[in-house]
Amino acid sequence: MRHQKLKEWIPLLAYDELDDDQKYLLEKHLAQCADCRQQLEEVREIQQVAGTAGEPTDALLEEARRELRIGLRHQPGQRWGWFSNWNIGWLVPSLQTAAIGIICLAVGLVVGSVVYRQPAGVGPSITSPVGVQLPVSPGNISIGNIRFIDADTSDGNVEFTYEATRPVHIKGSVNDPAVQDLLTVALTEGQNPGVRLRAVNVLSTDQLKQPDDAVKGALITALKMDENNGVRKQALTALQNFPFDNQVRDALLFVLNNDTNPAMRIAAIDAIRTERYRDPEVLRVLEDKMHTDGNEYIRFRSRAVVQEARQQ
Amino acid sequence: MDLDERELILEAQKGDESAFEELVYRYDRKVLALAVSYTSDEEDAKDVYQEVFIRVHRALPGFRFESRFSTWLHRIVVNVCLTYKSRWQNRTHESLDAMAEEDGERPGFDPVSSEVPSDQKALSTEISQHVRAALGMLSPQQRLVFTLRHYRGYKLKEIAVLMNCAEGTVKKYLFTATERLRQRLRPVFQ
Ligand SMILES: [Zn+2]
Repeated sequence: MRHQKLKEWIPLLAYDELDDDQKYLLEKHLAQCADCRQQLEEVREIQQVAGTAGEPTDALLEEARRELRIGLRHQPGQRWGWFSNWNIGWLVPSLQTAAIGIICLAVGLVVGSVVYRQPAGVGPSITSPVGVQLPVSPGNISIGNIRFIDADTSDGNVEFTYEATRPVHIKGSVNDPAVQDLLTVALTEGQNPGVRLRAVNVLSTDQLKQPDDAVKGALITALKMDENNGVRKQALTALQNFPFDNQVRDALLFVLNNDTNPAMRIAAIDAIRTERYRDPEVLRVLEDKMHTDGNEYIRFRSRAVVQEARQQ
Repeated sequence: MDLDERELILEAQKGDESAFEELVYRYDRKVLALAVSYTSDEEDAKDVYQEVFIRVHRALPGFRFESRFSTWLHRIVVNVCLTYKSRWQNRTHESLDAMAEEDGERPGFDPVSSEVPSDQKALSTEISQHVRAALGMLSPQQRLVFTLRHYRGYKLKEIAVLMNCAEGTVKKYLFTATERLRQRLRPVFQ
């Protein structure tokens, strides 16, 4: 027992993470335990061969910064003007409830001559700017978040951005690839967790006849990446309608390794099919989890599965 | 947090692009260095870097000065590292032996890359290749704890804060990491 416990302190000694009392105890034990001395020596060897870290070169940093600028420019719902972002363009409406695109317009207005020439008898409407084709017809779109880049009209020009939202009505079979496409986009791109949750709910229906790779991919992405617990949980449930292949297995193992929510990890371990218990990949993760997981149930469950696999 | 930084953050939150840029440039070398150590691969490291600052950009309006900005940022770094899968991991998973046979073709196993300091270059190609392969076999948590402690010099207490877990858990990760490295590298030592 003593030896077992103290053995765990060896890397802590090597990395100078023990307090004085612990250090004293361990050193006393080391003096009389050849096994632990050997272990300490090996840890120090690891420290040596692992070497020291270098600093990234300026060229690499420059490259990373440049790629970041491009990456930020393509962010959905980009609302800041960080770096030049005038090429965002019009994003295709992706959902039956709402679609948000950011339109950037450089509008040439002849101030004082064109503005607010309204058709008689009709409420205020959007004045078509000279020479600019609006990507959507005004009517049922709603416009928000106007941001002026140049509101100074002294030279006759203004420049601004706005967000246009337009409802799109879609009715079709959940097995229609086009419908599935929209739902997968909603699941992976939707900004609102409620929207993503509704999309994943629809996608988890057992009416889904053909297991579709794109749907599976979107579910796996949601399971691994979505910030919302409900969306991740529902994605996990939905994936259980798919054949338990290596992709599904890896996604479950990923959750087990990385999800900080114990309920998700529990759901993941419970979703591993019995016939896959002897899969070396599964075992490798579970052998680790039975010692390291912060949750007692998962440690217990992992140990049980590992034992069962060994007996088979 | 110095006043200057607080102002920068407030400006960036209001949408000031140059303030955001300056904020990024204060920390990004350190973030990239950590990403390079963690992934052992420059392309992967750039991906991590990019994901981190895109998330920072997205989340910054919600930053309420309840923790130090650098702690908040590094928590994001930790989360990105833990959920990150490198390109080669995505493709397939092979045994250590299969990797060794690949002659370092895989980017993560480029035997001696430019960012490695000269004292390490002196190490035999074979050993550093084995070290990288062995690191690649650790779980993301074990690997991250080892990287932060060994390569970046963080104390375990600080790592626990960044990973949002108990210090005891971090100690276990470090123990398991060194155990695994020991097992994998034993044949190399001998
Ligand atoms: Zn001992």
